[in-house]
Amino acid sequence: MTHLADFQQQVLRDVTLQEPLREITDRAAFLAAVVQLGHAHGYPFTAEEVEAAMRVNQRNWLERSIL
Amino acid sequence: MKAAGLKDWVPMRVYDQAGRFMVEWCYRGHERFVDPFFEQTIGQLLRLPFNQLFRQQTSLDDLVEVSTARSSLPPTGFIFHMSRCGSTLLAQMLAALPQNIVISEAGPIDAVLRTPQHDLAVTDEQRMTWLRAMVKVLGWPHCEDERRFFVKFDSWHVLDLALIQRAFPGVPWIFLYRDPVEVLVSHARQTGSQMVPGSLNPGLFGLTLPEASRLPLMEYGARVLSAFCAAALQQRDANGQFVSYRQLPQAVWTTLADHFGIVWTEAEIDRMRQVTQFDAKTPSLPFVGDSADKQSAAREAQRQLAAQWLMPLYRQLEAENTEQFALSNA
Repeated sequence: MTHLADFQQQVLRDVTLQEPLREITDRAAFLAAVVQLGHAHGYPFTAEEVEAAMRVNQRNWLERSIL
Repeated sequence: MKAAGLKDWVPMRVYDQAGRFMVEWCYRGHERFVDPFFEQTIGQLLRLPFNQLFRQQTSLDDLVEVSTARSSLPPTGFIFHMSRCGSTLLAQMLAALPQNIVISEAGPIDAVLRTPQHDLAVTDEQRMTWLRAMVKVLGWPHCEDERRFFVKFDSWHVLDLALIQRAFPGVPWIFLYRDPVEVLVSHARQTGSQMVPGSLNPGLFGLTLPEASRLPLMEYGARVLSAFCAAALQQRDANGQFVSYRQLPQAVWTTLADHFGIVWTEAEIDRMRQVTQFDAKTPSLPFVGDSADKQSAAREAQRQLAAQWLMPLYRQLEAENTEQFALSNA
């Protein structure tokens, strides 16, 4: 797993990590906060990696008529 | 098991992962489902950057255990309909009240009911188990006032009414219907997906896909609507009631209140009345009654198709509606 994927799993296990991120509506501010929080917890990933992961999720939603 | 971590999350889609059905969740917090359709609220939730990066996944089988991790509101009532007949109006009226959870045409419910199309080995027992679990998690209360729970199904789910009745014995349900000519005119202006061959299993209408594809689109649609009405009539039981578009909105605070076991307050009725002033599918626009317009716009071909495929069923729905109304007022 990538550093970002590991960090995502840690956030999903820890609601105290989710809370500050859930309230951010500005995309740029969110990217900065995620990278900063990730680095603070020992996960060195970039904002570009975060955006790529968000695009994958967006595509999955747009292609949701699987069944 | 991660059930505790899903407390403020909601299933947004079901997908196949290497032959295993998976449920994807997004964070919803205390957001209520008040938009005309479930997916519209999910779309709003997905505007949050958090929901674009963080999703949770459970298998459909694990959903069963997840659904028991916290208490859910038991369903107050189920809404089935033939489409384009006031079902969105009804759902919007109910959703206007903070006491009501209203889930309207949720993709995850549709996905569960369609699982046999993807895996022929799925049994009815499995579908009922998954359906109960999915409805349970969608009925988790997220606001302290919530105490009633309604599910409005997609129009084609009336074809699964027997299975849904077995999964939820005793839950009151209604089937909303409308003059078939007006419904056909509505679909001619904006065709619903269910009216296009291939969207639903054509075998449900006694057709193969090639046969369905060769039919004029309007005729295929008339046969689809016919199957919906026939299914409702066939599955009518003591828990079911037929409601005509013409009876809305007043039926909501009269016969439907009795049917669903609800005593509305005056404030709740006033709030629901306010909703009726607006277009149910586009609430920013005022409501404009369109039955007369649709009747005058109907082409002869539409009237003939209605006469051939739908009017006998419509008359039967009307007759049983009249009978149930007489019984309730006896």
